[in-house]
Amino acid sequence: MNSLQNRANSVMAFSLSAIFCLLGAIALSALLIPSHPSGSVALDSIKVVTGRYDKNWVDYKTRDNQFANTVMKIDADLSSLFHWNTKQLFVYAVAEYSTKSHPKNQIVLWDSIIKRKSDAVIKKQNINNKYSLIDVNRKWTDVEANVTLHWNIVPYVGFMTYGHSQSSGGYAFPLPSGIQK
Amino acid sequence: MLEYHIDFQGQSRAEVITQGLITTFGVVGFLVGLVLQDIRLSLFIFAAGIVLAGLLVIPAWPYLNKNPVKWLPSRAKAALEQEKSTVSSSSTGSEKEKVA
Repeated sequence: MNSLQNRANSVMAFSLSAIFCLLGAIALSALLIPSHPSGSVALDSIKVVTGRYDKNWVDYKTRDNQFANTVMKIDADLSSLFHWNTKQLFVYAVAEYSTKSHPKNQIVLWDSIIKRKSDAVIKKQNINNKYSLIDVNRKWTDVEANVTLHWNIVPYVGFMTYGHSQSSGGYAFPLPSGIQK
Repeated sequence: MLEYHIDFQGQSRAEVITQGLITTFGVVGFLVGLVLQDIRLSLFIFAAGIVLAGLLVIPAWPYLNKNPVKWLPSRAKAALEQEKSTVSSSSTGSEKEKVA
């Protein structure tokens, strides 16, 4: 600490150590802050249509891949997840089902990024699925799906934490009733 | 070079001030941020602590230089002065004895 450069260096070095401790404390505190999120997803209707596999990945051989088109209703209050270390929330609705060949399948139907506490109360109706709902086998026979609202807290510093609502459930997929454009 | 030395007590004091101030501001910033749920405020308080510590400690303020080291007088200089005062006795061989 005898010369100017020496003192500047030790102030900087100590503040670097201190900021790591501060950020560590912030990261740990975020795990202890209680929250009481609630949410639910419900499918108002499911319609199965047939079509080519993908608009961009054209499968000319067959047009009978079965897509499910759903209409969702989402009701959630995630505002208590916004604490001082929450940068944003990633909210996504997941359909989960099992088939004979694949016991656990999860498909994201819809997602959204929430950046403000004021936007964290979600009340949406008539949402179509954002992403194609198609099984690996490309058929929906004897399938019952649960839908769940999941959320992921993206912090400013620290740990990503995840949560989900209770799954609402047992939606059976009907027989194909149309052709996808 | 820009060195701006401070004395030994000043160095010890500067170290205590740096660590104490930055730690205090960090703890206060954490608590204020936790209570008000504002991470930005907490980091601003911490940054204020760094700036304050830097201002108090980095320049060689007089309060860090209150106890300068008192050196013994230089032997060569003392010898030279003694030689000046005793110009009449012009023997160079006896100089060593005088210094000792």
